[in-house]
Amino acid sequence: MKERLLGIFTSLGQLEEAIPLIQRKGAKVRTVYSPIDCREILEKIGVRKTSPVRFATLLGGLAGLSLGVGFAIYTFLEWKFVTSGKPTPPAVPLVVVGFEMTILFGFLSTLLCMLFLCGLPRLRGSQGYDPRFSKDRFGLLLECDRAQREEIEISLEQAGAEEVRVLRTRETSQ
Amino acid sequence: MKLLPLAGIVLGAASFLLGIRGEDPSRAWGSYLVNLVFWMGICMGSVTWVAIMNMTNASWGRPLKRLAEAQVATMPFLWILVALLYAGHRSLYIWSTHPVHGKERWLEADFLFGRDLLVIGAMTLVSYFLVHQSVRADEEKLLGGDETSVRLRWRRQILLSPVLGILYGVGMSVLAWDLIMSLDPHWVSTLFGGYYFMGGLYSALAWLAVLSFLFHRREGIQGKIDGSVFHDLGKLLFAFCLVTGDFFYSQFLVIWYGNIPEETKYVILRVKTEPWNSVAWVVLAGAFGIPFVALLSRKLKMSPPLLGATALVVLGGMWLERFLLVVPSVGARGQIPLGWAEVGVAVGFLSLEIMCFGWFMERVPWLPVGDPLFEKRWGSLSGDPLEVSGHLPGSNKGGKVRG
Amino acid sequence: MKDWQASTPKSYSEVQEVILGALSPPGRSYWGAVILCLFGLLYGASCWAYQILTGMGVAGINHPVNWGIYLVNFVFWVGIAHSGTLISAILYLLRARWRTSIARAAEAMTVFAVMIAGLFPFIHLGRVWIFYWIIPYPNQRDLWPNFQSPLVFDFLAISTYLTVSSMFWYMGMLPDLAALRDQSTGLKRRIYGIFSLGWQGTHIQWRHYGTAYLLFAAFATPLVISVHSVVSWDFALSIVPGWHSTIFAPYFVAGAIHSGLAMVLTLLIPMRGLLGLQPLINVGTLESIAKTMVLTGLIVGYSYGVEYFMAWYSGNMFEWDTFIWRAFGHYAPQFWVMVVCNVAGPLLFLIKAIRTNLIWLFAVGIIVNIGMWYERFVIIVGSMSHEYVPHAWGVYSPSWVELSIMLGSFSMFLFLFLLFCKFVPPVSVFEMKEHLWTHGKV
Repeated sequence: MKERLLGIFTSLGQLEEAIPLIQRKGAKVRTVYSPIDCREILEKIGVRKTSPVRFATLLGGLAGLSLGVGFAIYTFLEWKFVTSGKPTPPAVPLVVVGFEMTILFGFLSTLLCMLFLCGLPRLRGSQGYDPRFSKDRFGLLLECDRAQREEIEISLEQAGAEEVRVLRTRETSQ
Repeated sequence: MKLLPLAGIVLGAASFLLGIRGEDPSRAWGSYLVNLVFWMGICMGSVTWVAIMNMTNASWGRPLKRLAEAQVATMPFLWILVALLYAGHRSLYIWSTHPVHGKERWLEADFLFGRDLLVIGAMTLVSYFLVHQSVRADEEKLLGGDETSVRLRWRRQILLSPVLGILYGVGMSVLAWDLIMSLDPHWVSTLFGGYYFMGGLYSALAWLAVLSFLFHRREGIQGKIDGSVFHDLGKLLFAFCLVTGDFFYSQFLVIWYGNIPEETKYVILRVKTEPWNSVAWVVLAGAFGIPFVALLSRKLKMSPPLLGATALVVLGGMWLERFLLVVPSVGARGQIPLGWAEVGVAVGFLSLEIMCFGWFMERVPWLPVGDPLFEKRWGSLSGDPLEVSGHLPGSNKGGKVRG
Repeated sequence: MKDWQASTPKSYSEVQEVILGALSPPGRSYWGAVILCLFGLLYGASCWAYQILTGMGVAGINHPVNWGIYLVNFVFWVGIAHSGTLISAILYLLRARWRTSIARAAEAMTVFAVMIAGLFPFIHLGRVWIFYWIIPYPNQRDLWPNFQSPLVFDFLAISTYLTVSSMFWYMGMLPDLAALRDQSTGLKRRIYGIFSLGWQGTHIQWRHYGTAYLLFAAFATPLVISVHSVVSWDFALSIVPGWHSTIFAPYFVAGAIHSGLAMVLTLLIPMRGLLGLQPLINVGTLESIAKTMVLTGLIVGYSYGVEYFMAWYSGNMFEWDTFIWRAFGHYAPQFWVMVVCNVAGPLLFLIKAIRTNLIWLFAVGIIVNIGMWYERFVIIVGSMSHEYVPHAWGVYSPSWVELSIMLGSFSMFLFLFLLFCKFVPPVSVFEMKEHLWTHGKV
């Protein structure tokens, strides 16, 4: 039977130390809650630090570039508005159009991809979340076998956990 | 090994002298000027980078400080070379043989060269003082000297840095107007000075990247130039690639759009007409296109050989860019004057820089131990001075320094 | 206004309390100020309505000066917007530590300034109701906007800038809105809950958020440069003497940052005092702003010098005459105000005692704001009133309608900023907490 434990810490350093302790005992880290950027502990729990959001950026930027420049060229060919003998379509001003559209679409696609990957907007609260996690507490939500629960509780307390909570094993959304 | 740069200089001088005694001396003077403005940008720009990093409290770049400062050694020679350029002003500058109405006194050889030499002299002197304070601070620190003296030298560097920054901006603008823009005395671009000095900073940064790649494993650097420093260097190089591209485009767009013949003449010659238009495309690719795409990659920025290679492409592109600014206005001809003589002169200038660089690096500690920003991040490197730099300060050279 | 040495917060909860404490229910003077600004805004809006109903003749613009202070204000407000993004995005990329405590307020300033700037082309447009013609959509007139025109560049650039900077600002606030949600009850909790999008600070969320934020900053940086370059090209791509100049793009960008930093000083010095944020926004940060202003002031001064030199050097009599007239003609007072305020003013910051004194910082901020407004005036109105043909020279002065709308714009800015101060965390809570963590204090 799997059990879920939530360790509440007052410092990221303590939480960081607790992770290998509980991993050795066979527990698995499900979620870390933090009020500050905690990417330095990602490697410890087997998650890559860099995010695939970058691909959305690249694709969005290229889409913006082609859309912007392509559309502008289309409008020039559709209705040749010749001013002071400049060629139609003119390559030089289209750099600006392409540039702005690259940034706009690249930015928006990064934004949307980030929100999607973060699971935002999130409509329901999750089981392990404590409102203090946005202020000054860090949470370590882990999963372990019922048999090891007490050992792990002790490890957490040794690492400096202020409080250890046992959560009912129900679907905890990530 | 030491004779190689000297041989290069001799080759350069010989190519040049052969050129001016040949049928078209302006071609030789043209290649002389191209290399001169290229290397002026790199040398003045390198020491200005040190000033910029001092003013912004940039601690990431401290291990690069000495490599950047080394370019001060070439500056006196650049001063001499500009003075020698006076001998060729009739071959190069149309205003010397046909004074331009309205600016006869401004574009007049004695006044022009006088002010340019003054400007370069001022930059050289301030750079010398800045580097002198920096090197002496490190030497004092290594010899276990007085902390107050080391701190005082840092304060002096902080005071000199903005002076050099301002001198660079104004001085390089004047040099650009006088030496390059006046090649076509009826053409004007208000951004030209800024374009030249930004391009100089860009080239200097690329040169620094190449030097970092060549020297990062040497003992004197003690491995302080690591992946993260290359990453930051790569990011800065990317930023300056964009800035230089933006400055180029600002000029190009305004001139293209206004379509005023006085302005477009200069640009059309370089971008639209044979044979220069192919050079223009190569410049766009080399100085802007390839570095832009390459420097997007994080892996490339953190890899010393790859970053060094990209920086070489940048340097090649920027050299050709200076070539494109200068040469089309120096005498009319149908072919691109890029032959063995030009290669020889370029090799000569490069060898001069290498020789001065080597001379300088033999005599100084390679890490800025007396710099508080270095100390803050890497701690005090006290102890055996031989471990810190490649040699004992004061002695001529150590076998470990040059490999 | 002596800066009392308040102790810097030493724990996460202290940081949160200091910052979110600024959002405590405001007193009467606050509401008084808000209502005053609202009146100013409504007054400006009603003058605009009057202009729409009566016609553009109520504004002072006429031949030859077809671009009056509506465009001056447009460029002014876009300029103000730039240093917000400089502080929040560019300094983030440069890892400058002094950015953290002021980035949120500076970004807010950007968003509001761009909104106001975006209004001015509409105000300047005679037939506002057909503004949508500039949007590219298939229409029965068989027309597309001319993508070659700098005015269309403007439309693309300003709308991109508004979108990007408001989203950047909003995204930067997500963790703080979550903190507000968690410590509120009732309706406030619901509202902050909606705006925080359900942020929980899980490691997965921080992973993607952290990378995305860096990418946002990386996009915002070239955007800042391009937007004001595009605005400068509204002028430089013409052949008006005094406008057709290649240096305009970097000159305007530097000038924008210059005026924006001055506005940051003008806003932040009162804000930190009134909201009790002195422990977080310390004098060192303000000093860094002052030092940056010395740099931008020098760039602006360089540009003035280069323009004058090139006007003479070019031998172009129209260009030279325009520049002489700027200094000694009808608008000479505005010109000299511009030079003294923009170049000499910031040079005062070379003196340490001045750049660490709150009163001087505030005063020089105001001086530079005035100087930069006049710079746009001198460039736009000065050049248009004195072009090639002497027969076509003429003078312009703004009418009461134009000045009222300008007053309305400043009121709107202050109104929005006051609301910001009390309903949204004025300093980034989680980034300040991160400072404590990375400097080993917690």
